[in-house]
Amino acid sequence: MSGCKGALGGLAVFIAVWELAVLLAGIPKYLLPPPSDVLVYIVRDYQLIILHSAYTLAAAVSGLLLAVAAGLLLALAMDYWPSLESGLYPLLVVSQAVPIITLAPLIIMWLGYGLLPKVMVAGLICFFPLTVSVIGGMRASDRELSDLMRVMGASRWQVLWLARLPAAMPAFFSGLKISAAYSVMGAVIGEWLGSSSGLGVILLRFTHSYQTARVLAAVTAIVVMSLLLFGLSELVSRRVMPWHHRRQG
Amino acid sequence: MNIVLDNIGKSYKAGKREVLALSGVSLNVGSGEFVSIIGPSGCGKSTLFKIICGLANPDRGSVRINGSRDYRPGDVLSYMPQKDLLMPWRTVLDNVLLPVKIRGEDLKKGREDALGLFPLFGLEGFESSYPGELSGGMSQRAALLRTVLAGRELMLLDEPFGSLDAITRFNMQQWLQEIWLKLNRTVIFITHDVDEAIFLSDRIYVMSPRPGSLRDCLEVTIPRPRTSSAVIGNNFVKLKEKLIGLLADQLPPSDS
Repeated sequence: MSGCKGALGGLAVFIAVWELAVLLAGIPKYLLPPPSDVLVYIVRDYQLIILHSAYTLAAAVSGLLLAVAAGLLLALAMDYWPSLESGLYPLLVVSQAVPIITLAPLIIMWLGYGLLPKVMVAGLICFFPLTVSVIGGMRASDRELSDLMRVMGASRWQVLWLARLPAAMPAFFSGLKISAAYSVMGAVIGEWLGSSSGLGVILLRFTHSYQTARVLAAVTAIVVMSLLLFGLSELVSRRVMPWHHRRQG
Repeated sequence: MNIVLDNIGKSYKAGKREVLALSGVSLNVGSGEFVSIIGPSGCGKSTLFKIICGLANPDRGSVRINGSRDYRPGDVLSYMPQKDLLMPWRTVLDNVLLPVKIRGEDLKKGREDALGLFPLFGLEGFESSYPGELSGGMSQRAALLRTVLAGRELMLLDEPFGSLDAITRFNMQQWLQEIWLKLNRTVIFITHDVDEAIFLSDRIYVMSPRPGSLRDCLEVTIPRPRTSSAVIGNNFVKLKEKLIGLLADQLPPSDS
């Protein structure tokens, strides 16, 4: 936790320098407002921010959960049926050459302007890092342990369920932590392309009217939300894998 | 209970070369015996275990357990590889119950049996610890408890103490003898440690380097229970001399 203290110190210095720089250099507020202004708007707009944050959060978390479910299922299926893995895994990797952002307009076109397309964009962005980390974790699991279990009379399903999947959990949770932050980004991108609520919407609205301090207030909300989801993933990982953290602790 | 290996041969491909790993391995172990196979590293001892366990098929020869070639390994034997292979995400108790869990047997009864054996295996108080919290010796004892709890009469132990320091290893050997005398199981034990082989075994097979074959066999008649003073007894020293001689004969001259 000493790293946490250092980071907070660094952040404080950054904000102080920013505040002073804006003040001393006389930068116009519509270009770069000082942090104190941003804070004022955070306090003033807090109801608006919370309202829209809730919408974005709903999209981000639903997308993340969807990606977790789909990723785990696909990874299990690919591990159980190797032909599925050899057919799908390369496609999965190549699919990453298509930036999800470029697909987002299509998804909006297909699914409309409700919550669903945002969930899908967030989910698609999270899906790849999650699936690949689970598959990687399973591949790295101890071959000899699987052999030992087979000698004990285990079925392939038992080997997968009792050994390979749990062995992939540390990798899964690293993937989850990255995806948790990505999911908010996905939801915001979805909202940019067409929505009536969400932080992405107010972000655009404030940008168009040069209310820079309010843009930054919304950005702060997005950052806080990403950090919260990241921290929550860490918390879940500690609950689910006490063995992993106890050994490191 | 008896196990008969008849003229086992096995080769494998290393790159383009065909390497003969085992050739004409024959072995006969009866009920309640403690038999060791000793030989230098890489002579195919572990491959032999894999064949008995059904993880590899022999190219020639056959394995019969209780007269049958079509045994299901999980029904007649339990196997302990060199690594403890404890699952870091299961507690020690859940780890040793793995074979019970896999077979879908009565977990409650299994748990009672296991807890009853924890003191004998020096693991009392560590039932709900994770393997990452155990010392090397304790991990090996936990792995051995898992092997014992599989409840099979034949136990195949592949260098179970190979990774331990000399002092811990000697304690574990004495302890293993005690366990074996109490539990009355048949053991085939792989080792490359001469003292360990003599101290524990009724019979020692010497395996030659590639291709591995069991050419010589020594009977160990030192009465049990053998104590730490047995290792300096006359009998022990004579056997040791003979065994070292047999092992030295099998090394190609360039290696010595």
